[in-house]
Amino acid sequence: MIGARECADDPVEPVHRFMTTPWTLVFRAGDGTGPKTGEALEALCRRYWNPVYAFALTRGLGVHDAQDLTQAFFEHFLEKGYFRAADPSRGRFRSFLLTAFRHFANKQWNREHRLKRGGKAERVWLETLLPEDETAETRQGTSPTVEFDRQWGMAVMAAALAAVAQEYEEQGRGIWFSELKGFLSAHAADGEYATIAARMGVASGAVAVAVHRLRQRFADRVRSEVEQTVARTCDVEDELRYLVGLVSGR
Amino acid sequence: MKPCEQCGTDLPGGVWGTLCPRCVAQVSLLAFESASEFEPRVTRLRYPRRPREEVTPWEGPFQLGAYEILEELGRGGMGIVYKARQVALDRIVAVKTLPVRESGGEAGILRFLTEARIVAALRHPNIVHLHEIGSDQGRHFFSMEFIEGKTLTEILRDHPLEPDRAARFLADISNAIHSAHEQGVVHRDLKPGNILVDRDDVPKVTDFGVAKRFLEAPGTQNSGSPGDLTRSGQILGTPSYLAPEQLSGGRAQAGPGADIYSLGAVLYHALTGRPPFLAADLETTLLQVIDAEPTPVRDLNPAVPLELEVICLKCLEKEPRRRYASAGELEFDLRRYLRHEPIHARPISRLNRMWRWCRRHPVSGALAAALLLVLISGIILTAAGVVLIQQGRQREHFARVRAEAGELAALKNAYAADMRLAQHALHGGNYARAVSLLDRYEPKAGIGPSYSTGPGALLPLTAPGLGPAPVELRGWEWFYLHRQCRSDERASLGQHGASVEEMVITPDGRKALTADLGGELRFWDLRSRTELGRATAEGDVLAVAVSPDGRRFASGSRRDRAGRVYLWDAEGLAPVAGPWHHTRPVTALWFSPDAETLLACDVDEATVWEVATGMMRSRVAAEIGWRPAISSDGRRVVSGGSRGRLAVLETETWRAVVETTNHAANGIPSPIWVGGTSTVASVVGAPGCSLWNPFRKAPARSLETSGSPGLLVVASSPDGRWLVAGADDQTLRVIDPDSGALRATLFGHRARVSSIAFLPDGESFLSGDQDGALKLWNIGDRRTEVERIPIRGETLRLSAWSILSAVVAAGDSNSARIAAAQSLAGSTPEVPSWKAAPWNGSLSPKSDRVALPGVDRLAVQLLRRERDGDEWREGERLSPESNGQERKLAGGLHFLPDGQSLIVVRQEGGLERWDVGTGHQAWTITGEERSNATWAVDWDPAGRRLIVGRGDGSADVRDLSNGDRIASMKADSSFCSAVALSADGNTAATAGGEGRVRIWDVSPASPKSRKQTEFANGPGLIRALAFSPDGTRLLVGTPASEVHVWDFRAGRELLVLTHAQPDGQSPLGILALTFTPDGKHILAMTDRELLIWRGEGD
Repeated sequence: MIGARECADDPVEPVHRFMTTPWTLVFRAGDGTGPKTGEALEALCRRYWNPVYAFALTRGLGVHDAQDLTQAFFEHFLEKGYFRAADPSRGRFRSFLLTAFRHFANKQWNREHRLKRGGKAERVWLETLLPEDETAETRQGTSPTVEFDRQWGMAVMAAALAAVAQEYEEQGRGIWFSELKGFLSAHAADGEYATIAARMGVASGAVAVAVHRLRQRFADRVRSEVEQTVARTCDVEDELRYLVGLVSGR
Repeated sequence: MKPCEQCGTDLPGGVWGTLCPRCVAQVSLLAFESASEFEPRVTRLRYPRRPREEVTPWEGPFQLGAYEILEELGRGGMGIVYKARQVALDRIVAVKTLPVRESGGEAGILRFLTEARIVAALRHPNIVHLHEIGSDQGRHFFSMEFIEGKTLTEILRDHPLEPDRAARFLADISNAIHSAHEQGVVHRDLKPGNILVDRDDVPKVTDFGVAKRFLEAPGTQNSGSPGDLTRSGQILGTPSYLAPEQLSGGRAQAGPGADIYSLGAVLYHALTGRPPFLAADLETTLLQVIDAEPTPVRDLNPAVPLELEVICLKCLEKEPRRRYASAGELEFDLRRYLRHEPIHARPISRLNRMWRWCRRHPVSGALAAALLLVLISGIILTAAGVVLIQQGRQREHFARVRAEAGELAALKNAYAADMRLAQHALHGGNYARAVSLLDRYEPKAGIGPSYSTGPGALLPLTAPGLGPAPVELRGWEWFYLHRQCRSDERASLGQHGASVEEMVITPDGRKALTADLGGELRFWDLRSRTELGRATAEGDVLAVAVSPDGRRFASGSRRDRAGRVYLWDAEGLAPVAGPWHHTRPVTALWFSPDAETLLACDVDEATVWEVATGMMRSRVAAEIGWRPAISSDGRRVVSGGSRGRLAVLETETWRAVVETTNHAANGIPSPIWVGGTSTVASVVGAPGCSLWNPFRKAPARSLETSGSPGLLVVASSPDGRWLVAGADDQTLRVIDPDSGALRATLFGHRARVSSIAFLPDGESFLSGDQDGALKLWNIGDRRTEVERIPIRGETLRLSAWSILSAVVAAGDSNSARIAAAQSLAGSTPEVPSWKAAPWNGSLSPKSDRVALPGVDRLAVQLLRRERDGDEWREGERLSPESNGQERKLAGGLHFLPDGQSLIVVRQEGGLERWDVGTGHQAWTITGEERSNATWAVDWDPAGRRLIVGRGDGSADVRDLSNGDRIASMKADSSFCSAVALSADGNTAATAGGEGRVRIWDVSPASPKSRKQTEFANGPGLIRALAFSPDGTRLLVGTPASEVHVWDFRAGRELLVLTHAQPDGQSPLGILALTFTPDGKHILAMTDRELLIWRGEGD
């Protein structure tokens, strides 16, 4: 009958760790009133700064311009409560953020550069930020949207990785994480498990199991990260496969 | 940036360190994907997904053989379909390829080529034509005709097809399938998704992906022949449209008869909007296909002609030999139907239907037949007879358990589907449909067995399709929907024996005269809603009028071809004068303001009668026309003519002064005067109603009544502010004539409304329908789906001990407010600022005390309510012994049902039971660490057991008397956010970070708490769960502020309760949820409001 919200006045309650999903962050940010806005902004920026920045880069901006624009995007629109328009029941957070950024970049460009510089040269990259240009490929050969999505996938994985690292740390098994994390990206060479087993003082079968668990835990965390960014459970599979496919290059 | 040693990609650094994301994805994620770690943890309640071929997205245009691939059209089980240009011929084609990484391997390629060969052999205008087979760098493909249009699935998404269109489609497809059969090809996967409809509305069959040549002799098959491509036991195709023999028998069974079945299933879907069998999980659907009779088509869509239902059900026969012998015969019958000729198929009689069911269920069938025989022969069921049957039941009990379980599951599925349909129908304003869906489950006196609740007592006695559901399946959702269907009318006035065609209300609004087609007149007191008298006029009554003083009524009627006028005294409805004769039926009457004369109109004469003497004062020939209406001042008459003609005549001269011929559609308009004299509203059936001012040079304005079927009758309020129209869907539509906006749709009549009359207040009106029912309405009355009480401050606790004493404790960091809704409809008095931490306070069952954590969070502060008032004063402070250790209250205080005990949750996860009177601790359980903190608590209503959900994902059931653990379970892998315990304390529900609801058997008989089932309720964190008091339903509150009602045993979602959130979505959704103890109503709390969905009664 009565739900979980027993410790609403206790800021260190573990619930927050689980509830800090992008969508809830957006809500908290969108609320704009609470003391947590700054926190939310920081978390949001930290997690999805890179995909947005990379997107700006692929559209032909210089490093500094791209950084400025990305930074301005997160600050400006969080302050202005732009995220109030977000509706988690519709679509994916990924698409929402990209659309929001495009919109912002467009307006920002118009306002800051129209009078100041003018001329045709600048108009070129302005136009490349528009979705109509989507099918055209950049010099690197990837479509900017796909690159954004790939970066997004990496950001999701990075968040999962950090969460797993923290989990191991909290469980007092941080040493195991640093020993084994290399196996997230590579299969073990002959004798490698045995070396670690000897170093850690366990049987080598235990190392294999531990590696398996680590990979499994990581995959679980990636899944739950993805779950937080889509509106419907049925989208999780698609999103997961899509992102993993992009990052893995397969 | 350093490159990765393995793949050369630049390393991003940061949290990744020396790891390469690309390699991590490949090693840790793709590997797990193939090991199906990515599959949902529970697939039991879902359809298994088809394996996906590729993750690579569309890469842009490319060349494939002689084709330039332009865009992706879709992905099917066996390949990707592209739109492409055949360069040499410069034509647009569809190209179907196998994915680059052929997941199907050799078998996949073979199957693909088989399809190509088969399709290439078929030439028919209703089969998608294949152009060419090819391969390019190991990539196999074929090109086909490009069809611009939609699939039948897309067309059916919005609504069923009109019966004739469905019949035409199926006739064409049957012809195509027949021709394929003649060439030795069975499609085996006919479904709406495989039927394309082009721009000219021509249907075409595609995707012979699982077709096989059924005539190929076994000896001619080589090792790669298509016959081997379907692994044994592997079901290809979509089960809802597959023939039973394709599921239960071997492949050998799946001959042309299987396609005829599928054609029937497609026809069924086209006519009703849903496939004949569709359950929430694959197994149940398969069971239904094999064993259940489909719901008759016309039960789902009464607009379908009987012939089509018969054709459809003949295709869906379980035994292939009972179906049409060939697709050609099916086409033949469909064409006969389209030509309005008698069809060959015969309807299955109910007896026959039952007989067949009996053969499949010998034991229950015999019983049902026996019972039916008993009823038919008119033998009264004596007590002995009942005993006999009951003994028989017991003997056969074990043999029947399996059959019944399947039968019951089918009934429950049908019920769940019907509840969803009924809710959908209600939202769409289709009241009649919703009522008919609900009526199936309402017990009918004298039919069926006794009704009992509880899972053990369910004994189906009659076959499906024999009438109302034989067992009680109804739960809260039925009563809720039933209440929604309950009419909007303010009162039911009474009942005529025939269609009520005419009515008039006295000028004081107190009395009414109503007349039906049988010529019966009834006189009513509207205040006491009693009948004052009745009389019979000879012939059909076509017009009634009341004198301005309300003392006399007049009725005009038709007898044979002539007309008559009678005059009645309002007291007791005694005949005063008449009949006064007309040569034609009298269609309109009007009393002069002094009540001395009566104007009576027929089609070509206007007569003025002297009321006192019955003398004819004048009779004038006039081209009055049909359905005349006299203005309230008696100076004008408006009437209709054929082809939409409307004419206004001045009664001084009896000449037409204004006339319009291009009015609305064809047919004869039924005009009325809006608000008396100036404007005319007229109805001519569909599409609706139009407004016309005869004295201005503007054309008639059509009033759009959105989604409305045809309007049949219309009335105007005396002030002209409102129009009320009776629609042919049995509703009344309230229309604002100025804007044309639909103000309300009122439900209540069970037949089409045939007459309407306003009371002088301009807000109330009386209506009569074709079944003779009379109902009183008020425009201001609207039904509400959900009641909402706003809550100020941060809400924390919902304690609903009954619907009348639900109390929400709300507070913010400075004050506690207790919004005590003594009556939920009434005000919500508040307690002013209180110096205690207001969170997690709890209200006692009698609503006389509130327990709050003290400011120091070491003690509990009680508030007491002054006797029956809204004033609260400070009560005791409970501070039990602390064992020398200061353990803070985490805030969780819970009054138990005895009103004497509190469950106290400690910050570090400990639990205690306190006596409120003495402050004595009955028991204490020490918590270990904060990660184990208690997050959710529930108990059974008798206060015997407690369930606790914890932050580490575990949950315990404890004995409330001593705190001993009775059961424990791993509720979730991360944390447990919501728990509920059923009324008997034997079933628990949990939800947590995984987003899954799990049901556990925690009865003492069960050695370990056993997980019974689990299901996903949608995305987001579930914070509230509740069982219904009868233990049959589970409520799940979602972050989207919806409440989902589940039949958790059957794993069926029955209803989703939503409410509009104009101020944006509540961020946390439903925080607390409960049934009232009587099980009649649902209360839910968000951080903003208390929501009440009322079920049965008040």
